[in-house]
Amino acid sequence: MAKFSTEGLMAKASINDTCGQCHTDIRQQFNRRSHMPLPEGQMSCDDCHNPHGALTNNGNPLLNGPLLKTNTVNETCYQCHAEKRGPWLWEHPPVRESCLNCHSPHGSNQSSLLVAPVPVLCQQCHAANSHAGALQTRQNIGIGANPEAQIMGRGCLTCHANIHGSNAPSGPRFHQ
Amino acid sequence: MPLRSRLMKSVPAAAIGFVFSSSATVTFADSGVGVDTWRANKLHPTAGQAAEALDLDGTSWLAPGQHRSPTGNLYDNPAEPPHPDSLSVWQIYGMFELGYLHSGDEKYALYDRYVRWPSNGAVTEFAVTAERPSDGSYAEARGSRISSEDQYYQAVYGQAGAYKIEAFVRDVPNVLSTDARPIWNGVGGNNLTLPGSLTPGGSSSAQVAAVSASTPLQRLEVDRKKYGISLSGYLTPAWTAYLNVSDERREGARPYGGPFGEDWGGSLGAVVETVKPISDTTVNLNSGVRYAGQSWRTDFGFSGSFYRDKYSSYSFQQPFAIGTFAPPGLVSAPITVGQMSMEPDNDYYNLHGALTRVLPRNGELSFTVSEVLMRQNDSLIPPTNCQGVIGIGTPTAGSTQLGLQNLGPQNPGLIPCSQWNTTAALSQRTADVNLHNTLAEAKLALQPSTSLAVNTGIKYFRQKYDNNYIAYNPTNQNYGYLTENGVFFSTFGVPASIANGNALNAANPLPPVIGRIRPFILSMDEYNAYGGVSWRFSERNVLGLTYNFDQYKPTSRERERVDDNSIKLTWTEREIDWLTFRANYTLLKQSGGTYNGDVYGYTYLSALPSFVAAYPSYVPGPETVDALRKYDIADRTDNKVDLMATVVPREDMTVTGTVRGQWSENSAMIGRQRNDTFAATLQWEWQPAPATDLSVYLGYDRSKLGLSNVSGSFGATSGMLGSAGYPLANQWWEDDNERNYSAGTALQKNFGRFSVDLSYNYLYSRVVTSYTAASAGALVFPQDFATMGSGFSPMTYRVDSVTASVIVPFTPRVSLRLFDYYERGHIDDWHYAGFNQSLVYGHELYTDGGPQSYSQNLVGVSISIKL
Repeated sequence: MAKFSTEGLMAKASINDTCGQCHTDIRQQFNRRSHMPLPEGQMSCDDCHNPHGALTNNGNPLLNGPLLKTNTVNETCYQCHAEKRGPWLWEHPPVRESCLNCHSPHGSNQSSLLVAPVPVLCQQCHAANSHAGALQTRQNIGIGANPEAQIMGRGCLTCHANIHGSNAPSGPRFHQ
Repeated sequence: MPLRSRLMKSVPAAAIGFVFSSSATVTFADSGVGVDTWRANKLHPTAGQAAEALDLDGTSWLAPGQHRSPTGNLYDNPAEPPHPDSLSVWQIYGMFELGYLHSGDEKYALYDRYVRWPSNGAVTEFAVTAERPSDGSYAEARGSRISSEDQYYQAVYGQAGAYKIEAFVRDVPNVLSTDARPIWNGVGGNNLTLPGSLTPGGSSSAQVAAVSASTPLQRLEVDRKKYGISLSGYLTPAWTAYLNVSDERREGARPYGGPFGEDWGGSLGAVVETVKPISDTTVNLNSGVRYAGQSWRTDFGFSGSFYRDKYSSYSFQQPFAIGTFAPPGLVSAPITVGQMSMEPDNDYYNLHGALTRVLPRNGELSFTVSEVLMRQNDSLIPPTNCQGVIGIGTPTAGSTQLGLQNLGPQNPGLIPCSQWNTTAALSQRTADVNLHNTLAEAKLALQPSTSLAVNTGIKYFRQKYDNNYIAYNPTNQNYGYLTENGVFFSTFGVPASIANGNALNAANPLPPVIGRIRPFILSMDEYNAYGGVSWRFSERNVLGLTYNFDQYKPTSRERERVDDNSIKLTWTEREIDWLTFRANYTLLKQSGGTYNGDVYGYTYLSALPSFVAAYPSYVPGPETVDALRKYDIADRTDNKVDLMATVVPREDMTVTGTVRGQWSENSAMIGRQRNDTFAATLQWEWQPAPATDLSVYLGYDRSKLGLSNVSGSFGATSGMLGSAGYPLANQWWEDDNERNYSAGTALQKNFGRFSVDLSYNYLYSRVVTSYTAASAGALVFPQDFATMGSGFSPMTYRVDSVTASVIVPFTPRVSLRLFDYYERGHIDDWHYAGFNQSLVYGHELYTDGGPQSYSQNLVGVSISIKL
């Protein structure tokens, strides 16, 4: 029997290359600015997905990603990001529902695998009668006429830093 | 093959690698449970496989030519079979490689993200396998060291068909910033203090900016070190058992936040980007037994995960002198310190079982049950870490500072921190939050005939969330908490988010602020049912149709019920010898119950029975604008298409093309309105001879996310879009358009006396965020309306990488490898525009300068010795 891979008797040199035969666009997403260390060989597609079959192949796509190795999307992510598991004293509902509400796990052009730039990401859901619903423009970045913390650097997350949830008694708005 | 690891910005393993061949499977976790399924590094992403000497016979053991998988993809050229030496009854083979790398001294976060290149240093790689053919016993050890912070080692011992014991240790660096200027002392710990040149709570922006500019650049990173051991084996020919345990430790620091209100007017409030320490451990355990018999199959397992954080919080001194809106004559107590809570210690337990009955005619009936408990009962920190007094008041005559001596009825806006900086100020000392999930599923698969297969299933998932916390201070009978490290006291002189419970009386006016005092209750139920049929209408043509219904019922969201109906059509065609074609189309419609944006009232002070009794006619203000639709539960229509074709134009060649598109339309006036993605790839591979491979790939993908929002007025009494609180004139729209272009080529060829491995990869990403607004009222700063333009400057990311290696064998056992890896990356991110000039803007202090462009070259040489 020919051996194409160091481990796992794969059809290609690695698990990732084997999956990448067909899932070429997904494989290319991992080249983006923000990605998990799959191209660097530190993890494989098989860490999250079970190619042989799984429980989560049906249902709400936010809650049940394709062929995941655990019951839900979030439990899959918690395997390596247990610090995000909580549960928290103060929860952020879309976080508890699904990590995919904000993150693109295969790669993103934003920091931290976000699906959209901050504050655009947050303003999809937040339109309260204060700063959340106002439009930030090019005049509000660091070189603009009115630099604004809500869009510079980490944007909303500079203040709402504990956005995955807070265990601080003063943390209902994830400031602490 | 274009999409092998050598194209993914990685040094080809052929450049420095090792010859390794073993019949043993050394993966730590299996495909069904756990992580750690692959251990490699950026130098050898294929764990050395791509560096192995190739078998010049190729895959043509009995028949000439290249071989393919059943779906038409060419197999790689296999490695040479090992030539083991005998040591007593053991057959031993392996390889040791020692090399030298030069990568330069400059470090860049994007280039060094998951690797720790030595500026100049030795790298090693080894792999040794011992096999005992008489009984199938084997032992393997392999490892790779790029540097002391980037290495892994693993060992396995076992007997084929009997048992296997594995152990590993690995380091994974994660560089987050290489141009950070944290002004504090104590970075990496949980107490950040300002340098002596800055006065906490009393420094000017200019003073802070000067310190920031003179702070040396610092790298912020989080390193993971993980240990693991596993045991698996056959209890009987039908029963297997497994157990694996791992312990991962994270150490480091990362940019984080620190709010003190907003930088109102440039002097009121402050925003600081602090540095959060990371020091935690996670112990993961997976265990189970499996039975695979003729008629029955079972799988029972227990998984546990235990997270422990060294710190429950970290504190940081705040440098800025924050002003106040207080009337003349009143001053504010300085805000000198803030705190940030850390991730709480938590435990995870998962008990699951599956039972499958094999049915006649290739059928199966299976049941799965899983119980999960996630629990967190960490000790809570006090609501604040302020010292002295907080708020506004009149100082003692002759003094400009407020202190404990100023407390009293003459200064009602001044309170002692001691009322809030102690755990006695909490209604409970530990969190006591639990999440209990239950999953039950049944599946039936039948094959009534050779051309027809039917499958169906139902699933129930329940999440029960228990959290009875209430923000109440028993020492002063206050409900609420200190917002943003108490800044609202000092800036506005109002006890934001605090209400005196004793004052909830009809005889008293309404509390000035009616805020949240209880958590969201995030229980939910999910019901799912699906049914599908696949029809093989010719030998290698299969059509499929699946209907799926999913109902999601959250207890505390804007909708009580969310329904997803979807149908999926599939077609797999392999009838034509030279073509494998797959097509999928999915239509999904999301709908549900009535959408109500004001459902979180139960978390507010106004839901307290004592409040309701005192103020029965109180009507809370709107939570948000009524037209907002949160996209995860709002009505939505998704169309998704996947096409994939693998073509064999000639025996030694493959062309693969894919097209994937998803068009998602949300029916929302406010919120996400659409999210469309499209991707296409083309890949060509040619293997004209064994040990020769040439490949090219192209890729294009785009996405468009569109939303609308409206700038509301503070204190709006109506949430209706178009009302005074949310006027249509304040509506705005934003689109986020992304384009990604990928290309690459790779050549691998053995010339007899030497072999060559070359590759080039390219990626260009461009993100354009554009906007329009109905009027100036939509903007944070209305005065910017005339000059706001139509969008931000493009956010771009471009990476080129070239790798080249030559392997020269001196003897059958000794070879020399030379390689070069060049990568350049260019990035523009408008979030960080101007940060190269200053990290201080009024009362806003930033630490991370943002991602940097780079150009780096890595050269290396190594000697490889086969054992």
